[in-house]
Amino acid sequence: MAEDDKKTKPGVGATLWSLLMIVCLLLVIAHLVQAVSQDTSSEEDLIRSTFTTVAPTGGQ
Amino acid sequence: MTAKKAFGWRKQDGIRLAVIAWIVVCWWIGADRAGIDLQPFLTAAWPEAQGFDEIDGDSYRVLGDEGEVLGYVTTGTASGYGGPLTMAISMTLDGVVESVAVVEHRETPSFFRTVVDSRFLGQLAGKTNEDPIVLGDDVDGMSGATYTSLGMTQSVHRAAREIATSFLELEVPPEKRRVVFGLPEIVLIALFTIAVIRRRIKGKLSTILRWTTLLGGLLFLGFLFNSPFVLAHINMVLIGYWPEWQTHLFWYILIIGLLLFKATEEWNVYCYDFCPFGALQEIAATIGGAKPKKLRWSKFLLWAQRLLTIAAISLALIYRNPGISSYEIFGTAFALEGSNFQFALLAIILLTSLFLYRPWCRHLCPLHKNATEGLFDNTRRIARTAWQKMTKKPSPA
Repeated sequence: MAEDDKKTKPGVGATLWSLLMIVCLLLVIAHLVQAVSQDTSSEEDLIRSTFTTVAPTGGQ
Repeated sequence: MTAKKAFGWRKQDGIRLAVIAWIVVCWWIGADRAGIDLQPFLTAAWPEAQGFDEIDGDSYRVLGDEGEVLGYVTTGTASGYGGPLTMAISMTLDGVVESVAVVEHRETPSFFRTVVDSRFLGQLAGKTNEDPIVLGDDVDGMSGATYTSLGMTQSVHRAAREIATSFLELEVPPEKRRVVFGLPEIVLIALFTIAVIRRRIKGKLSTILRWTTLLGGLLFLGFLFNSPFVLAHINMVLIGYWPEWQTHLFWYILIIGLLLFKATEEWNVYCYDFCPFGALQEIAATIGGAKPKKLRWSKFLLWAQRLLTIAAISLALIYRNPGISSYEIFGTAFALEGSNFQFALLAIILLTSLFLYRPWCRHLCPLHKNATEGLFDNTRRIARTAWQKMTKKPSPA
């Protein structure tokens, strides 16, 4: 019975892989926070950053 | 009779229904978001104007010192990669598109920034009412961001036609609505076809065909076209945005093909047979001899994967932006585009894939059966069971 438990229980390697997956989860969360904060920048910022003109008196 | 007895509910079905209810709430919150404010574009495009006379919600007449008309401003909308993309343009009285700007988009931030930084928009400013303004004709496309550059070009094309024909009564070239059917669509149909054949045979040939579709997916859907199936596609469907079929045939073949396969074969053909990132992990697994391993805290990891997926879908619905929450690292792997976090994630996943079988799919992918696919399957099961119970004729006593 004890030997069976030993076979099925995850070992040290499994703990390390799990920790690595948790690091990956944190990276995904950090990326999502960054993506949302970039998207919520104002419409004015979007227009300013993409504004392209050939007019001599244009804004950019 | 209790609901459990009537519909054969399982313990977790309540949670699934709560998730669906939450997604509906997010959809409703997103639908309430405000429209476009064109004022920053108007003042940037016509700094010398004395006033702007609103013609309708998105069109303005630009007025000079003595009330004379200097030009017009309007918006045009077309499909980008992640959803509708709206551009504002200003046009002079002689039909020259003087200024352009993006006023709203649903593109993945890193891809959008690549197009903007490439000065692609410089090709669109300066066009006239006599120009076709068609990608691949008088506008050069951008490889790796084809749909974004197509959406920008079509938006400007539509806005320019609107001002030229409705306000200036100028001649415009005849509209060409050609169906975009090329190598990406042919490859996708071929991948589906090979996968269907593979499902019906067994043995070594089945393995060879699977590796053929995996490597085909990696080369074509990954490296050449950079068009993998992502959460943004599901978000687009949930938001209710369906792009023009003429220009987005690839998208329709992919979505309809997957749903058909799922409905008829109950099989996720994409993940197993031709996901390019799945292929990359399988190659690493073959090199390193990786096997599926039981991890510690598996329940926590499973629920973390699910919660991340729910958060990503919720953000997309609230912000009405299918691409905002696409945290997949496919673009990072195949087009080298993404945030620093995504590059770090990619490095860890590729190294881990040498020892652990498909770590991205099993623990992080929002499309996996642990997450979206599982919710889809179980919702269908609940609906089917409920329908069968309701329509079942009582047996004669």
